[in-house]
Amino acid sequence: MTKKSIIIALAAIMATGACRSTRNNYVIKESIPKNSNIAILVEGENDFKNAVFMEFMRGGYEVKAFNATDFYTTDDVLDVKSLKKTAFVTNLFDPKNPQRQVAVADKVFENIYKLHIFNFENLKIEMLQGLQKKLGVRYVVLLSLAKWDAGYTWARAIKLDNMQLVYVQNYSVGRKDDLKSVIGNMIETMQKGK
Amino acid sequence: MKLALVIITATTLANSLFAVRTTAIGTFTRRVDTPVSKEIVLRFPIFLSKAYTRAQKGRVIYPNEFNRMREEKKIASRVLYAPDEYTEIKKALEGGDLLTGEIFEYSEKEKDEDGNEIEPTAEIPDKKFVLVKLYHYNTTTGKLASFTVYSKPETIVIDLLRTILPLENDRYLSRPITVANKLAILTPLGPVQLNDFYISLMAKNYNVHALSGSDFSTTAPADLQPLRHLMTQRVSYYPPMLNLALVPPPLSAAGDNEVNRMEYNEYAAIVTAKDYGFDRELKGILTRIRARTGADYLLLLNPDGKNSFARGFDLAVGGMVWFQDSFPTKSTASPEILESMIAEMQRPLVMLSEEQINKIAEEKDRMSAQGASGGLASVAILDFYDRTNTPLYTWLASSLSIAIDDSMKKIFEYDRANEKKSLEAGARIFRSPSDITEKNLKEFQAATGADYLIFGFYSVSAKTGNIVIESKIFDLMKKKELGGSTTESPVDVRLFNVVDEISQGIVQDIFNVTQQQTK
Repeated sequence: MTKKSIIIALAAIMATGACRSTRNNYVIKESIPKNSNIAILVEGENDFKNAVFMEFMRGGYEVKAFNATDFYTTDDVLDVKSLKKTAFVTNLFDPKNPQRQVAVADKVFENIYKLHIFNFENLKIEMLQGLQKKLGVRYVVLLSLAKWDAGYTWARAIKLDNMQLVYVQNYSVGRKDDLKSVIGNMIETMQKGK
Repeated sequence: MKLALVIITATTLANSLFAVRTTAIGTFTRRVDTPVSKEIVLRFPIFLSKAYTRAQKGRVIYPNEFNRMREEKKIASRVLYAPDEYTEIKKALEGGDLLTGEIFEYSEKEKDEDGNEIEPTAEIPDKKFVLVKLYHYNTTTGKLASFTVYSKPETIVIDLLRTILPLENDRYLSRPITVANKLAILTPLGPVQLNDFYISLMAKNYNVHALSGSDFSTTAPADLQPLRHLMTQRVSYYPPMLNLALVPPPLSAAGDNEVNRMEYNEYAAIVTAKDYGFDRELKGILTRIRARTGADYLLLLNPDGKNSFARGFDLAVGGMVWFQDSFPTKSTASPEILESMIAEMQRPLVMLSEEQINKIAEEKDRMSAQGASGGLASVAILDFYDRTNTPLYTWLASSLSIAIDDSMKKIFEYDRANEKKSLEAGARIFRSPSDITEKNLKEFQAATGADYLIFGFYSVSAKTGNIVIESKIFDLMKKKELGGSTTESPVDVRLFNVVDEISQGIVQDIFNVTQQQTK
């Protein structure tokens, strides 16, 4: 390897590192103040989730027990894609007269599917708004930290009063970051506001 | 030489860029010929043509012109065609669009003292409601857009204009969706890409209400593809299809009728619930989304390369207000397509201003208030007087009036006064040119009900041997001559060109008068 190519390779590595550590793309409509009642939806094992919840509790938030009330993970109990498929198949299947269903299936197949796509989103809103009524949750915070060590994380917060997105962040994890600093950055952004 | 080539290339390019798009008006069906249906059939093309000209949206091919093209290609007269018939129409129109429609009229059911609806009598009631279903076939995209317009007889023509004007080559947007509107978005993006999209929207001050992204699930673009085509009561967008309506099981002659009836009822229940109920169900879902999110619009954005599409739903009304399948972007990458979608939903409409539409409405009202036969000008065309003093040209007397009638129909919509009555009254009242007096014009108007009278004389020029045709047009309501012309032509094929000139002159005279009246 020549001296010139070594310099180019080093420059490329440094440039990559720089990009990785500086990409923090976010927007926040309104700050999410301390003491707010929040529900955190996060993917991962329970010990990982505990670590996340602790950071939010340390940050001054009232973390409601959602997604943390049992030993199962979200993926175990709520496979959303399966839910979609189940609802779809259930709609089509009429145990009383399967043959008749086949006869009109071509005609109705698409319509059921189309309605289902719209309604599926509607049902998700309904479920999330149920958190507000039952647990007094004001904001739902969705976090994906599962691949934080692979370089990226993301978060978004929905205000349940009107389902408005108030905070969205894509955060590329830097070399000096650890889980605590990543969550700390997100909490700081949420509390600081614009 | 090079310069000439450049000029030719530039001209060709300019012509292709600014090629005038044509919209042919095809069949409009109606159950009975009423003044309202007649007005829609005859006036809508005229006002659409005016509106398209003013908005620079292309040229309108009138129904009679399209009918000729259709008959030449042996295409049936229908409102909706099968896919292969649309292919033939595409060839005939050479890239234009086809607009057809169905007119329905009905009366508001009266109620008795107890509030029960009274069944309408057989007579046609004065106060009628009109429902028109418009079908617009775009030969470039190969898609059908249909719109249901519900209106009153006095406003239906203008409401049809308002409905069809926002439709562009590959975009329908009833009104721009701007940053002031609250948006709920359904889009098949991965979480990071979705966040980037939301960030870009929120940075532009959009209020975004979470639909996609309210959980960890993601949808693939292919999952949303079936939503590309939607058929709803108000607005639909879909490719032409074979009209294979589902037919209920036939009733057999004896014995098992009851079984068939039960089977039919089951069938009907399924169809009603799953097919015809689609519109109602969708409206219900959209209303619930609005109630839960407070959003004004639901946007369905599917960035999927060449298969991308965008749909917008007005959550207050519950119907589709935006559909578009192609976007001005060089890249097929999702972020660029989404960016283009957002720009397109805000792009101002190529449309007339409210002031211009109101002017057209006033023009239409004035036209409706004039003339007989439901507001259309009623024109009587008499045989021309033969002054040739030779039996050689007797045939020209009726041929000229027929040719003028045919020629005028190409450029002017009018109602020809009863031919038999006109000829009979004409022969009785106007025996010679000196009989054209105010009194006789009044008598002719009373006998025929016509608004305008066209007739003339023809003679042979002693100098050239050509036929000299003198045409005249009279306003029967004002009992005065409006204009006329004198033209000369050899008795050969050139005579038809002269007839066209005479017709154009007559139409121009009528237009001049109506313009003066409407100022």
